[in-house]
Amino acid sequence: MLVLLQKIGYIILILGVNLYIVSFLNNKIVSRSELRRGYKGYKKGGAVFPFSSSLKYIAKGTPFSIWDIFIFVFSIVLWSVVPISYNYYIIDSSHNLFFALVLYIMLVIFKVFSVSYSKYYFVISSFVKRISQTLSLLIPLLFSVLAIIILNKSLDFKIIVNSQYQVWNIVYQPIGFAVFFISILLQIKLMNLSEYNQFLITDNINKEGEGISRLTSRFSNYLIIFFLISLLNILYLGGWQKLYMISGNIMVAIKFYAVFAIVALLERSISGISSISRLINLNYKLLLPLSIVNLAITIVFFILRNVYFII
Amino acid sequence: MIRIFKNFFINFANLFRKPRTVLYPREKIIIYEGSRGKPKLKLNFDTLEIICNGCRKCEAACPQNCISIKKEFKDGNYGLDEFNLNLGLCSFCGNCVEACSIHAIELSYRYQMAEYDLEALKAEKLDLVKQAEYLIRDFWIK
Repeated sequence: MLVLLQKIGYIILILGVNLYIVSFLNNKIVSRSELRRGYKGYKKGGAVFPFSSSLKYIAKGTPFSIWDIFIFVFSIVLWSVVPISYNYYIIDSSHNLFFALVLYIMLVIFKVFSVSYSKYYFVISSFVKRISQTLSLLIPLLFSVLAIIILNKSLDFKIIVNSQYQVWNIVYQPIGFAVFFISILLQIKLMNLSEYNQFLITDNINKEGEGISRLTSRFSNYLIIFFLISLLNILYLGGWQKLYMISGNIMVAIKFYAVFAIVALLERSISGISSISRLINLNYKLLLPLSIVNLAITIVFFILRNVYFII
Repeated sequence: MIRIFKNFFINFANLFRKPRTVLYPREKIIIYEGSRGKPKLKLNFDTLEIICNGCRKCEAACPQNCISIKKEFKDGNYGLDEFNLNLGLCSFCGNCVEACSIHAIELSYRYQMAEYDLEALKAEKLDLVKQAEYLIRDFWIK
């Protein structure tokens, strides 16, 4: 029991520290790419600013919607099955990847529901639009994950990472990686990392200083972004495999922040893809065919290797 | 696709460039040459007297009517008695400088003139003389 509590404490601590670093990094990257300074020039380079900016949300309270609470709880529960690094998980199962994906799909559905609710009623047209949009992103992502599962013959994160001790999966699955990366990039864009466009956000949190519901929404958005980048890291970039003298935990951090920095920069660069219809077009015409091709190639190789023993 | 990559590399290169913004009260930039700030009455450096003779050409040229001048008769000549300038009305157009035939007035680089009291914006003759340091453009970097 004590070990479990200790693990939970560690995970919450790591997520909290990560949240601080990422929000600081995001602000700096976004501002410096626009030749601005970022956080106001407080002492120590604005190091305390993420705390003060989170405190301002608490000043005013707004009522929660039920979906916001679901999203908040599930985004935390998600981290019980996803390992941050080796041994940093709570539920040890050989089907962790499956559970993580199920939880993530549930989260996305909750998000779509929360967006589709106006202040007083359920907007069906908005719901249909959002569902088609999220499906267009989720299906390619699931196909590329399926290719990885076929490649490693496992649903366990540990086995997937251990199988990459010589070569990372990105070498075997470059198309899958590209599809996965574009998919998570667009999903992160929908989650409004730089607070510019607002697709997957509820109406009541768009205004400045709208209270604690905005804080929890922002928090759960960041946790989902962590999850997507961690999944990319584990599935394609070798997870916590150590590289020469660098230990696994440090490699996880390096890869995580590198991917986050690239995503934050790219998220600023794809401002042209802002309308929902254009996004859906792009996904169905580019991402989905690519992911199907990738899956087909993987299945062919799998059959040749395991059924006919040719390769 | 090409546009996305182009934007990405522009954003990436911007990370290593110097930010254009400054934190105003603490950091300041050099103001441009020819910027128009608070008007200043020039002194004759030999006699240390105000060059202005009170001809009132600047008063006539001022579109905002913010200059008011009083002459005095002294030693057989007309001279400057009072020179009042209402900075609350002044638009810093520089017409007074152009109108002055003896180059007795010029615009300094001083632009930080915020006050709580409107009366504080009314400058007199001596206020307009005591601004020698504001002729230097980078006075605020000191």
